[in-house]
Amino acid sequence: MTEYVLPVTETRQTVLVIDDEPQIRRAVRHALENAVTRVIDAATAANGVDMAAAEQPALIILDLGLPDRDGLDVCRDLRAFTAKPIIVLSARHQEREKIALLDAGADDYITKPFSTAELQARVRAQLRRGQSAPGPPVDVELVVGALCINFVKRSVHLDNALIHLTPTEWGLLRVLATHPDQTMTHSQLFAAVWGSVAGDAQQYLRVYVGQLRRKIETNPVRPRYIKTEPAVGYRFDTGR
Amino acid sequence: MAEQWSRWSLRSAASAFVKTRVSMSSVVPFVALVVVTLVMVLFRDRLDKAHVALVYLLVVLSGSVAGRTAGLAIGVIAFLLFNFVFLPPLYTLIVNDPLDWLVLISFLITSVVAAELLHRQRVQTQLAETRGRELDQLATLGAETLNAARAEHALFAIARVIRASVNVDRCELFVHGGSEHSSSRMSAVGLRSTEYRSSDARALARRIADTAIAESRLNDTIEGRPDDPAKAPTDNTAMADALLAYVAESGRSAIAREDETVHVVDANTEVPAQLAVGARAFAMPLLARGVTVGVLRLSTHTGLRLSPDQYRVLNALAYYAALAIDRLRLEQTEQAAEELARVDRLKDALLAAVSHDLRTPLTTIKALAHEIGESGSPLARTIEQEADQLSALVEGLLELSQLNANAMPMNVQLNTVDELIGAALQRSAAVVADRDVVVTQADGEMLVGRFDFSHSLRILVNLLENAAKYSGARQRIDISSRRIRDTLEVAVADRGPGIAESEQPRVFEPFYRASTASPDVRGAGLGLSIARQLAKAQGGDLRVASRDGGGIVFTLTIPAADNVT
Repeated sequence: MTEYVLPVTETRQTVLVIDDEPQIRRAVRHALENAVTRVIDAATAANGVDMAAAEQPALIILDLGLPDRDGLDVCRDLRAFTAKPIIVLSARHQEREKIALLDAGADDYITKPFSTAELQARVRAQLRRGQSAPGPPVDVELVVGALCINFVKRSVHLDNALIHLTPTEWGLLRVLATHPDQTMTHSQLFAAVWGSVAGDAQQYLRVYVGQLRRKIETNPVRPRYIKTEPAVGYRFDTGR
Repeated sequence: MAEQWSRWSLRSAASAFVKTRVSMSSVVPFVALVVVTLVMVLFRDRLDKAHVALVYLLVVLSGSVAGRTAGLAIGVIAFLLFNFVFLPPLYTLIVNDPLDWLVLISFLITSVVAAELLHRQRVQTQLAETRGRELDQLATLGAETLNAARAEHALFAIARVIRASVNVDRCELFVHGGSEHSSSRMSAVGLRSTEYRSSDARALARRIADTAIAESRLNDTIEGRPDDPAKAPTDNTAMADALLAYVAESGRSAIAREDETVHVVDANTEVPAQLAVGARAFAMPLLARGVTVGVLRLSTHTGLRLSPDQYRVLNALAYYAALAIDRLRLEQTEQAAEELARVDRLKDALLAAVSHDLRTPLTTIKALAHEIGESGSPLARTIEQEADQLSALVEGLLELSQLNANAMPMNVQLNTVDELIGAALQRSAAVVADRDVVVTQADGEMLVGRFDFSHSLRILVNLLENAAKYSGARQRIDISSRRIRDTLEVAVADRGPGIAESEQPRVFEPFYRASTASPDVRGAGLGLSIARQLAKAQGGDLRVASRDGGGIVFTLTIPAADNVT
C-alpha cells in the first residue's frame, strides 16, 4: 500500500514578522495566525529581507531597533522588491525614525506596548488595502458616508450639497482620498500637494487641513473622514 | 640659601663694574683735552685759529658721548684754553681782535649744541633699549602664558614678573567668580584660596558671595631680597578685602592709602596721582573680552610708588594675567563640558535602554494576558490594565526626567485647536466612552496657535482622563476654547468633588494626590506635574480653578497665531 501524501497548497496569506524579541514574535503570531493568515518570522534584518524575497508575504511587520541593521535601510531594501504593506513597530522615543520610515514607504505604525486588538485591526486594514491594486483607485467617484468625491469633475458633495473647496483644499482631499486608510505623513502630503518646492506652505499644512475639515466634517473636532495621526500625519478613514 | 647669596653678590659686583666704567669714560676726554693742548702748543707757530677750533671741537664731541654735563664742561674748558693759550695776547683771557671773539663765540655755541644733541640721542637710545627689554619681557611672558602646561603655572610666572618689574613686596592675582572646583584646583598647585565675605567689607565693599579667591604669595625663594626677611605687609585686613571686592564688582581700579582712605581711579595710561605719592595697596581689574575675570593686587609695607614706566608695564602685564585667567577658565569650562557630554550620553543611553527594555516585556505581558483572556480567565483583563498602568508610570517618569533635564525635544509649529481637541477626544475615547464630552468654541472661527502638538495633546488627554477619573460615572465633561489677545485657552471642566482652594497650587507637584480623590482612583500623581511643565516649555501655562456650581476647571494656555492662509 502506498500512501500518497498530497502537497498541501497554502491558501492562507502570509504575514512576516521581523523582530529580535522572541516574545514579541510569539505575541504577534498568536494575535494574527488564524484560518486565513499564517505567520512566519525572522529575528534579524538580514534574515527578514531574505524571507520577504523568498516567501513574498502579503504584509510585513518590521520592528525598529533591530540589532543588525538600521530600520530605514531595511525598509528601503524591502521596498526595492515588494509593494506589499509594511507596518512599523516602534517605541515612543523612536518617533523621528518612525516618521522617516513612513516617508520611505512604510504604510502604518504601531507603538509599543500595543494591544492585541489594535494590532489585529491595523493588520486587517493593511491586508485589505494590499489586496486591491496599488496606486490611485480607478474609480471616478468615492463615496464614504455622506461624503461623495468625484475625481473627474473635481467636485465634493456632503449630504448632496456641493462643497466649495480652494485648489489647496481640493489637492489635500484628493491625495488623502486616493490613499484611503493609509497614513500619509506631513511631508508626503506636502510633496503630493505642493510638489517638492520647499516653502512656507509646509508650516500651514495643519491649518489647511483644519479648514478642509471645517467644510467636509459635520463636527471638525470629531472628524469622521480625515483622522489625525498625532505628530505623524493624516489618514482618510473609509470606515471599512 | 647660599645660592641666593652668591647670586646677590654676583649682581653687586656687576653693578660696581658698570659704575666704574661710567666714571672712566668721563675722565678720558679731559685727559685728551690736556694732551691735545700740549701738542698744539708745541706747534703753535704753524697752526691757524681754525685748526685749533676744529681739534678742540673734535675733543668736545667725543667728550659729549660720556654725557651732557661732561660735554658742556669740556666745551667751556676748551673755550677758556683756546682763549688763554692760542688767542693773542697769549696767556690772558683778553681778546683784542673782534674777529677772534666771533671765532670763540661760534666755537662755544657749536660745542653746546653738539653736546646737547648727542645727549638727546643718547636718551632716546636708552629709552629704546628700555622699551626693547620690556618688549622682550612681555614676549617671554606671552610665550610662557601660552606654553605653560597648566594655566596656573602661567599665572605664577606672571605674578613673578610683575613683582620684579614694579618692585613691590607682593603681587596677588585673584580669580573672580571661580567655582569651588576652581579654587580647589588653585590650592592644589600651591595657591591659597580664601572666601571673602561681605560682612568683612567696609564702606566700599559690596556683596560678592562667590568670589573665590586664589592668592599667589610669592616667597623669597624666587627672587632674593636679602634686606627683606619675608616681612609680609599686614594687608590681609578688612580694608584690603573690601578693596578687592569693590574692584571685582565695579571693574574699576582702586587705591588704598595709608591714611585708610580709598580712591577709585579710572583706567588710564597716566599714573594715578594717589599712586605717584605712595599708597598701601593698589588693586586693578583684569579684563578679558570685556569681562572682569580677576583682580590684581599690589601691596607693600613701605608705601607703593609707581613710575609712569612701571605703570605702563603693569598695564601690559595685567593684560597677560587676564588672558591667563581666561585660559584657566576655558580649561575648566572645557572639562565641565566634557563631563556634561559624558553624563548626557549616559542619560540618553539609559533613557533608550529603559524605554526599550521596559516596553518589550510590557507588550509581551499584554499580549499574553490577551491570550489568557480569550481562554476565559476573568483575571486577564486586570493583568492588561496593570500593564497599562505600569506603562503609563514608566512613560511619566521618563518624561519628568527629560523635562527636568531640559532634554524634552520641542517641535513648535502652527497647529489648530480643532485638531488638538479632536486628537485628544480620539485618544481618550476609551476613558470617556461612558459620558458626554461637550465641546464649546467661543465663536465659529478656527483657532490657530504656535505650539508643540504632541505635548499639548498629552496635556489635554491627561486633563480629560483626570476629569473622567475624578468625577462620577456618566457625569459630563466640558471642553471650551477661546482666544484672548495673544493667547489661546483650552479649558477642561468637570462636575467632580473639586479641589479646595488652599490645595489647588499643590496639584502640580509631582506625586501629589488630592485629598478629595477616592482611594480606588489609580495614578502615580505625575500627570499634572508633567502637563504643567510641558505647557511652560512651549510658552504656555496650565492653571486650575474651582468651577462655579461645583467641580474643577483646568485651563491650558498656549501662544496664539494669526490664521494667515
